[in-house]
Amino acid sequence: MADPDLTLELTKVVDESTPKRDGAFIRTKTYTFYLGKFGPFVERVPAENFDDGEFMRRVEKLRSHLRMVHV
Amino acid sequence: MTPFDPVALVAMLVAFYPIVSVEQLQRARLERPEYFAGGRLFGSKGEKLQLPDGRVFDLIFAAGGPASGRRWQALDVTNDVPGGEDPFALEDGPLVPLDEEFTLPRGTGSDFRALVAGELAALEHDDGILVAAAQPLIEFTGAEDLDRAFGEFLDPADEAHAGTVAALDGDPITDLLETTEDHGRVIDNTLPEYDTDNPDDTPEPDPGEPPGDGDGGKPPEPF
Repeated sequence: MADPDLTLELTKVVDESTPKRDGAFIRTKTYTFYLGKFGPFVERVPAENFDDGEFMRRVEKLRSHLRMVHV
Repeated sequence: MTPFDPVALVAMLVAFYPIVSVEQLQRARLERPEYFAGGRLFGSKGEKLQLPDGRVFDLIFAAGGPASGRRWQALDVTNDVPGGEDPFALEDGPLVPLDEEFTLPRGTGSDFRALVAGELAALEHDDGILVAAAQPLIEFTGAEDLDRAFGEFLDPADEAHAGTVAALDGDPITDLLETTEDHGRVIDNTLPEYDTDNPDDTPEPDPGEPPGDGDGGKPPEPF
């Protein structure tokens, strides 16, 4: 069976600040995206010490499991 | 509100929450609420998701079973009537549940004592049987049978043994001695020292010379 189309399609990327109970804020970069026909997926990556590879690692994890589900 | 995609939800759960449990489901609901599309968790174990449009999904397979048998899923159970007929009901087996109303009758002390007393009564006044059984052991009465057995079996065997011994005494051992003498001659033939010269050693093969600076070396000599 051919692999499903899991092309990444970003629909929204926003910087968010979420208040915590102690009054501090958690800053995140929120990605809303589709992988082929599946989605939307929403992943939040911490903006403090931002790791620009973290988002793609999550995307690859989701892709690998979607491939298994598709089989 | 984010649209609901059950495949995306399962992929997210499998990818980021490897331990399948209701606690992990609740944690995912808090950390990634968009995947749940505003639905709420409910059910006897909290493994079901009800969406605002009324659809219901079962998110944990075998939620009540052992952890090793659980897995994430998104099974639409909207039309399943709670408490309705099980579409995968098992056939009745050979074992049936105990009747909870039934209680075993309690034994009475008098019945047990009567049972033991009856068994003991059957053993009474049987000393005569034991005495009769022991009498042949105490008074040996088989001397005649013993003498007859000696005469019938042991005496003939003793005579046969005596005959065999006499035959052996009369058998000359000349042939045996001659054969033994011949063995000695054969043994003597193997006693002299080994006086054949040793063969020459095999010459060591020439390994040749490795190539050096500007020198091609020398290949090994063939055997």
